[in-house]
Amino acid sequence: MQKKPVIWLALLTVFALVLAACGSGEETVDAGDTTTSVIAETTTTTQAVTTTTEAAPMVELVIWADENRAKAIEEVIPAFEDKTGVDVIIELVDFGAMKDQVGVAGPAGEGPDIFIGASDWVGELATNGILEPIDLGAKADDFIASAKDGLTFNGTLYGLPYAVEAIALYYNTDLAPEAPATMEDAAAACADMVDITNCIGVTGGGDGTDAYHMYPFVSAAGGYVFASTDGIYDPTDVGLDSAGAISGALALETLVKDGVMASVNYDGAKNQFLEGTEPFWITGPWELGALNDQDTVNWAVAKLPKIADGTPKPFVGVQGFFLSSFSENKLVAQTFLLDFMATEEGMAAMFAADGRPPVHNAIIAATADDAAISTFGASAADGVPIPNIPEMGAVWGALGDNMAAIRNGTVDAETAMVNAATAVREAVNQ
Amino acid sequence: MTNSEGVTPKRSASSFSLSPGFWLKLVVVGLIDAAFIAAIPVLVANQSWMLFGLLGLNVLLINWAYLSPRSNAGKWLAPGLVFVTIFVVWPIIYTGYVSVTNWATGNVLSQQQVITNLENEVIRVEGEGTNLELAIYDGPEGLAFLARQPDGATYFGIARQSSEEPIEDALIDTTGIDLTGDLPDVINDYSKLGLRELLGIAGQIEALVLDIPGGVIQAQTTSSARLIQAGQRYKYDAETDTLYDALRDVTCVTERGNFVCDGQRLDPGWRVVTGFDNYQRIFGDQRIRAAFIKVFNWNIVFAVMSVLLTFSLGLALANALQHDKMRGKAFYRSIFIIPYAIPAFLSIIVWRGLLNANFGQVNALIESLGGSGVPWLTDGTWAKIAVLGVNTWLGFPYMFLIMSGALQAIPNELKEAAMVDGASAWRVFRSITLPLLLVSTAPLLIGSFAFNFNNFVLIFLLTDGGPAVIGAPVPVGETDILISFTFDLAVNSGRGNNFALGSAIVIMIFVALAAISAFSFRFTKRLESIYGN
Repeated sequence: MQKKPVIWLALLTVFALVLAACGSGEETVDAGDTTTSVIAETTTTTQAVTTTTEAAPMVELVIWADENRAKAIEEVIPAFEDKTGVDVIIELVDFGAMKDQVGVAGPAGEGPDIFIGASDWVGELATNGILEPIDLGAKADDFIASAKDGLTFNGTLYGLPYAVEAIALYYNTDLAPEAPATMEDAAAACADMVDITNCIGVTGGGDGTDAYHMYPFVSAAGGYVFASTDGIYDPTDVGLDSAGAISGALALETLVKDGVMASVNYDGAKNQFLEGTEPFWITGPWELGALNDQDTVNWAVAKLPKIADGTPKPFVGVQGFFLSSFSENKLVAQTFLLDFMATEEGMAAMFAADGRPPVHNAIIAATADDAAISTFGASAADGVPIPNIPEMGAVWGALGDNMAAIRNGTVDAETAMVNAATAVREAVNQ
Repeated sequence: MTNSEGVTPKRSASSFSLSPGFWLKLVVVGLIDAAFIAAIPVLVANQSWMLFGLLGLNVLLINWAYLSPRSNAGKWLAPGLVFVTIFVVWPIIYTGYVSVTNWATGNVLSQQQVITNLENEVIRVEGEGTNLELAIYDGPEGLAFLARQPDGATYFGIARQSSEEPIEDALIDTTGIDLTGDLPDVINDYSKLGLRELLGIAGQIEALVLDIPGGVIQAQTTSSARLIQAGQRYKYDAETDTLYDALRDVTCVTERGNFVCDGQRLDPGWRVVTGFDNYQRIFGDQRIRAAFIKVFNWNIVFAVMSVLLTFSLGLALANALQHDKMRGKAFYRSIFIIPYAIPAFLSIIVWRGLLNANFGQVNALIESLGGSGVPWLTDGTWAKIAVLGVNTWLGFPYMFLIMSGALQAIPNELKEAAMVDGASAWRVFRSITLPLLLVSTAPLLIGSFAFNFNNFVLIFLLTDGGPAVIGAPVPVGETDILISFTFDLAVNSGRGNNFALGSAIVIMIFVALAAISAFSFRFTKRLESIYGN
């Protein structure tokens, strides 16, 4: 009876080893099967024109996109597949989770060849070695400069842009028939209005800290986040407490003290505009859908009013296609990007499905009649790219918190900007 | 095994009968072993020694528990132990490991991946060099590239493997052939390949280059190419563990997960163990230390107050509903359960809206009663009150449920006896009800403390740590607790993400919580020994 366990253990080991061997064996058989069937398929389809002697394996291209953008590329893909015989697989990944997912899956060998993302990911992903540079080559001139700048990190272009977005001014045409040229004009227009709850609605007050929406106040009179030369940022040169930034912040403080700009968060600003009790609302083109879906408010879009006598330079975000440095089909992926997406048809499909201001010159010309889209495009042309260096991570919190303090009247404008700049400097220099 | 015929099932005294159950056991354990053996190559290839050891231990435990005749209790404990090691022990060990590495933006790959990445880099010729038209031809001597520069200059020649030595006379003479318009379909013996054929051999084309005077031409897409200077930019030397940069002609040394060239760090870097640097930073860096202590203090206050408030409110309501003269008990019970029944993340967002200083219903109510609005989420003190208030609202139904049950379990005779002895209601509550309640519910209170100590969802959704502490050198809010502070620090550090620093703080939270819990359980034990049966 004592010996028996040994026998069973031995038996078990053999059993386990056989199983493990079977497991891996089956995989190879599977792989073999698919390869052969693919070869058969390729040879039959290319028979007529084939000149190479080698049998080609089926080429797959994996693209990660979120639901909305997937719809856009799905329109272009059948044409690409027909023309090339490449099998394109679209995998849906939540846009908010995409950057982290790509960063983990790529190095593990399970990432996409191409993914669709935003310009503020570029610095971090490129620093981590996840992105492959892209040469637009002859197509470079088809795209507006600000879009390419947004996807450029340390002087290298890392993506194919397809849309830009920057904030502009929505105004209620019943309350304010004409767009204000300056913030003071907007305030003066509100002085005559009755039954309004707030004059200029911008998120970034109350509990809605938002450096992105507040940045026009920093940039209008010459303030900046990081100085840049030729698209290369210097994270040690922080301009949040420069004279320009402070005079913009003082203009903001005056608006707050005059009661023109209530301390609202995003939903507060949006709801009041949609209720018709707020004549001006500053935000981006992503709300065009919500406005088109309602019929309470008559509205139009204008460029941002001047602040402290300067033209505000809003942050410009760029949406684009990125190529993973872990892709094993780079030639195929670049062919897809440059020969199919970077064309008028590809870009038109992206615009039709996504609706953000286009970056391809031909599409810009084609949409010139759309007042809202071209105004948002013009606002983006005034703007500056969101610095895409990883150090930007330290800016959102510091700048947003301190701008909110001005909005809430807890700190004076100058102190707030000095605090913001100091916090960024310390974080960068640590 | 039926005993319809009145025969007792055959069961030998030995546990090694050849019953179906035994074979089933053997097969299941065998499958587990097989899965582990199949996983070994993957684990070894990824060099995950910790996971390898942990899984190995688990598999050994399973084998021993189910095959050894001497492990009776083991059979019942083994599944639990396996889950504890995989879902509790392993994450803690891994977090501990991450906290002693340099895992942050710029250092996420392995060294091998970084070297491959850098060695793929080529020295490109900017401007004209990025913009060549390309056609690829197939002929007797292999594949040939035809590249045309924007200025009209064309190059046609046999392509070679980029890993091979350059060919001196790769170019083929094309005089007399018109190469100005569309590129021709046939040149000499060479015929142009179509898109479909090209993409079928894309992997092969990627490895090819064409030598021209002053550089090499590399396919970028099937119809465009770029000009690069010959050779790769970086070359790694495994013997000396250095990297040579051909463009700047410098040798880069490895230093803490990065190649350093002339004192300049080269990105990307890789992950290495750097020891206790992150812990040193938490204590040594004045910026982080000051914020850390501030957050820690509020964290303790928040967790203790949350438990106290929910406990008192829950107990008070449970006590009130116990009273015989109370009417409509069922109605009140259902009302009190509502905050517990709504998913917390929804009601927290609703509360955030209700507490909005300008448009929230709470301030509207206060103002309609003649008061002035309260800056609920924008003033430090009020935000703390709001956080505690909302957490009490969220947490009291749980305590109410627990206390209702626990109160039922306290024998009425004890209370009656005390009443007969002349004790007041308050005295009965203080000396009989409360101590007996604590014996049974103290572990739950400790659990509630531990949960609230790390109540990330509440803080993140209600205030996101805000309002910010004005002038603080690191982004820290008045209502930040350690875990939300850690989240900000890990996700928005000075340079992208800093997972290693975040992990170091998480390990410290774990140690603090473990110590507090251990102390509390000891205290509970004392209660039990005094009041327990």
